[in-house]
Amino acid sequence: MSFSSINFLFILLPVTLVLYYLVRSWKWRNLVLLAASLLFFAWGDFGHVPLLVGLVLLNYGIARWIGAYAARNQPKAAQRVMWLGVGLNILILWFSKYLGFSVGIFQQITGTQFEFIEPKRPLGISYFTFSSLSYLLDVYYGVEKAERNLLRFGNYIVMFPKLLQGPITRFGQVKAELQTAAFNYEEILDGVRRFIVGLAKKVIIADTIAAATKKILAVDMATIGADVAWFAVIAFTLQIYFDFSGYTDMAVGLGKMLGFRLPENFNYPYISRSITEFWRRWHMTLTAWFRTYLFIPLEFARKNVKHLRQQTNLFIVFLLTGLWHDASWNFIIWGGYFGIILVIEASGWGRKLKTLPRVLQHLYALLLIMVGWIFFRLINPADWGPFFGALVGAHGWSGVSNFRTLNIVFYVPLMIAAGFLSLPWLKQKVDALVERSTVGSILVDGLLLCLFALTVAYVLSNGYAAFMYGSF
Amino acid sequence: MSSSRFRLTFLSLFFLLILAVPVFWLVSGKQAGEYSIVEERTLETFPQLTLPSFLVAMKASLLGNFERAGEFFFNQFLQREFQARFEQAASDQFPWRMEAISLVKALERAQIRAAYALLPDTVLPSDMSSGYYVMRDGSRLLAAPAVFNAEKKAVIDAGIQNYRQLVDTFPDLNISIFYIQRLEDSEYYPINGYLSEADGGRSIAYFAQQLPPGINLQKMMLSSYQDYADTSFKTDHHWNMVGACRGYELVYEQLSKNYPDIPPARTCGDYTVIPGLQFLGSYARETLYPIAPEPFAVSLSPMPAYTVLLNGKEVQHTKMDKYLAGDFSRQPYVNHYARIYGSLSDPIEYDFPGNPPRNLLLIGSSYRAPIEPFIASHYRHTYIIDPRYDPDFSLREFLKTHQVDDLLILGHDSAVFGIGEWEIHP
Repeated sequence: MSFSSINFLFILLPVTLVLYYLVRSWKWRNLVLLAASLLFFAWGDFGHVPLLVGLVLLNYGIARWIGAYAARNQPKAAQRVMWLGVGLNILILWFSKYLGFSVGIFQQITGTQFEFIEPKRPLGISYFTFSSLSYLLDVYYGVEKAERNLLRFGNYIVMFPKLLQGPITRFGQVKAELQTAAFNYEEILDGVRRFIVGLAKKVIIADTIAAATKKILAVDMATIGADVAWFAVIAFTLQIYFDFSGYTDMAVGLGKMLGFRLPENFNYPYISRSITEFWRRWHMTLTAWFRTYLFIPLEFARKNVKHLRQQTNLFIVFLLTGLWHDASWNFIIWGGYFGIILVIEASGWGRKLKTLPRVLQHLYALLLIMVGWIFFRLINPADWGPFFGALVGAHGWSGVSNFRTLNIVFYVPLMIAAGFLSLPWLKQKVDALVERSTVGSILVDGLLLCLFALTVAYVLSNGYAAFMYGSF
Repeated sequence: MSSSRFRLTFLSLFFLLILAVPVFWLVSGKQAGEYSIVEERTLETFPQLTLPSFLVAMKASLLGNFERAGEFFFNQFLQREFQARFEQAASDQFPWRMEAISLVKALERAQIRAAYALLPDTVLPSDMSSGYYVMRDGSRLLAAPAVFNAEKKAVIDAGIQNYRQLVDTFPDLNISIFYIQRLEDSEYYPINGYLSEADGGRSIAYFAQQLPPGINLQKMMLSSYQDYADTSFKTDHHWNMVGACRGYELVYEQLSKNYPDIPPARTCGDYTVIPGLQFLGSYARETLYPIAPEPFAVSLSPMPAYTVLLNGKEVQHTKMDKYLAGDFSRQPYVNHYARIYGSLSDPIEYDFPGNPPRNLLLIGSSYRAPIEPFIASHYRHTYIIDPRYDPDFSLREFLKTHQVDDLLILGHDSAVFGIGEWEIHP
């Protein structure tokens, strides 16, 4: 089920919230949330409900097992169980997501050919296995105690606001809220506001711009000129930000409505002045996960390596970040591309960059980010050459497939508006207005209600459009 | 009122909005699907899971008959059939749905106007999703310009190959093609200058060049944009009665070459505007563009006695009499073209008993509808086939059971080129 679908907005959400607010004990609240979350998941992926439930039970049991060994001061045994749990989670993730890719590589290397039917991928598998892994590791390192209440743990893994596309949340970030039944009116209000903004970002901006990129990328890359190629890159840069950050806004907003403070995932990434800064602002929970559970352990594990240790660790982490997105070479190369830039920035270029005028720093970062999105979006590497060729004018300024043949002129005003909205300026002004005056606050809330109604009108008009990050 | 009260009002309104819709669904409780004129489909209603079906599925499951149980219950969810129907119903049954969609279309038009404000284009996209266009002054809706490129050439080549086969297979059959040029295929489309692959009349020229001997091609070409405006509806893809009558005259000219004894041409030009009919055609329906409706004229030329047969039985095919008597739906966007001239999918037969024993097989697109009786009036029997609705149609089989002298293929480019669903299987 998608947050922007009519049946979520007008059936699951109101029914869940009414029941959730009516019951006053945390146990009942958890029960309502768990039931709603399982229904939310089953609606889109009924066949994988047993897998999701199985993963919850598996990780619950393994964490308790680790906890038991830790309590008995048997760190070696706890470590073995931790590795068992990590291995099983990774095995399930690999089987669900990377088996087809691995078989393809095997066939290429060995030159063998056999028929292989790839298993259907469970929705949100990368997100809930990463949540499970962080939990097991946190229990093992003593950051968290193994949760005894299965209902609470189940909700940590499956709670619908974050189930399919994050933010990737650590147990400690929601643990307290899972056992309170407090009703915070201001948080609910904030949550509703945030949810409406996210919904509008996704439906009105991202889905509309997505139609433009889809049109362009459907044609032969050799027929587009530099004008359309740059338009496509800018369009996708905006689309992916508004799609994913819109989802996060909705997730955080829903979390607040339900009494949870889910972590932030975006902090205006396109105002970055370096790629290092970009990755501190883009998909922050994924970056934090890799930093905590991979980069830092790698740094410790390889502390005796004298040369280029940090650089190679960074590169490994970003290759895996790419692979996390999908089992496809373009994502691995996308990760590797950012890995190389980060290594270069970490090796001195980052310091030099800071001495350049700010405009140049912004241009540098934005250009590299946009080039990165080309690897991300063009799944077939055979398209890269013609597309990069078009970007530098190899097919002329304007090609056979131009703004009018593709019928994309009318996206320009929305893209200009989207570009403006991807900067923090407007948000700062609105926040200040709400803070400063009652009239301003009323005005903003009134506009938000109108925006909600308008977004629903767009949903009805557009039909269903899947979230881009739902498949990762 | 304090700030917190306003905040409470905001929250209350939000919850009221999201709760009002399910309450509306529960109260309205629609069981039978309502027909949407605009979308030309029956709206989906919420699927129901009944307890008996659930119990039957459970029982089958317990008895080990998993296949049966799966059919009853689980497959609905695994294959997402239930969910898809439910989602469609939630959208279809949403209160003020069409008003909401119209609002979005209005905003899209504003966005389009803003984007084209500084551009010199004389036609603009009508909205952001339909692919249609509108004259900048809002006077007329247009289809997207057609293209002529290597891909189109290949498609035409395939059609030509099929025609070669037809000629070889049926050497005694008089095969004629009547091509109707539309604005989007012509050199008069207002933004052709921006499009290097714009058709501009090149498809039909290529087709004519490749056509094998033995096939008589007649073309109704446009001479200007104004010519198109005079002969077509401004909100629909079909020709109006002026265009249809001009087409009939050209078809008559084409037929009379084969038959010097052909009965004289009908006086197609006696137009009568159907009183009270405010026509908003397919372009208006698909774009929801706010354009003034137009009158709908028909030709009431005197005709000799004839009957229309469907599966051998006489039928009243058209609804022209009802329309002229004022008996028709006044709702906007009703597909009057199809209703007035009768169902386009029916394989009907015209029988003019007073005519010489010459029979025609007319294969064509919906353009044929207004002039079918006129053309048929020159034959004893005229059989009408629309390949879109009869994909298994075989000319060989048809000719085994029907005496046919002439084959006339009439329509716009794809119908005449024999592309895709229009292909005539020899």
